[in-house]
Amino acid sequence: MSPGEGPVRFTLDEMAVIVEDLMRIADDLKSSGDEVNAYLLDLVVNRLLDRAFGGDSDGG
Amino acid sequence: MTASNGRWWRRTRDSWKPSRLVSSCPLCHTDIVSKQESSAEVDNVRQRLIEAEEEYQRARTDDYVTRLLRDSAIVDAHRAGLSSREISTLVGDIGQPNVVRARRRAVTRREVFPAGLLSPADAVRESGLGPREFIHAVREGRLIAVELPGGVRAFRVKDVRRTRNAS
Repeated sequence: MSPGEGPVRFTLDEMAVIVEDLMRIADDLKSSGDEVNAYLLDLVVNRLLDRAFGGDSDGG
Repeated sequence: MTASNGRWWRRTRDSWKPSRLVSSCPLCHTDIVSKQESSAEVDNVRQRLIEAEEEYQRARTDDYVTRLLRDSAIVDAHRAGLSSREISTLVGDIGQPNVVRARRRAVTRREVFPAGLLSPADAVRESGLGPREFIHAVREGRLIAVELPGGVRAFRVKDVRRTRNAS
């Protein structure tokens, strides 16, 4: 792995903000009938939350 | 199909509007509805399955997301009490054995959660907590996740509601 390819790390607070934004967008999409993209966003949120629960982020 | 090929992301909101049963599903609507004195919930599940099937037929079989959604709708239909035979009638290109396979495929897939359990995202919604508070509740052991096969984490509805009431 080159120096430019290191992992990106977020604090728990940053993860929470990202999750909150994604969930708000997903809820907006769902309410407008775009269930597919809302569903896809939820999949991303689930992955992020999984990481946050497991202590894979930096903490914070 | 994956999201990365851009197909779904090119879709506009208006392109994902499931049509109504009566207008576009001549195969099944009157017969099924008249034969079964279904509860509103079963009717609702049946309607979702029909709409998922219609979208699946529009996008065709190589579209992963529509297949995923249809499999999920098949699972819901099973849970609501629809028979494999009826489901096979509702979904055009799938025989009864394949209905069972689709159900198995869906229940073992990472993103489909058994009844009584919530995905992490839905658990956050149900809890009434913000994501930050929810994450801390899990990390501090105030809310226990259920480990599903494949390392998937889910949450019991009753646990999430208890957390909501306690907060």
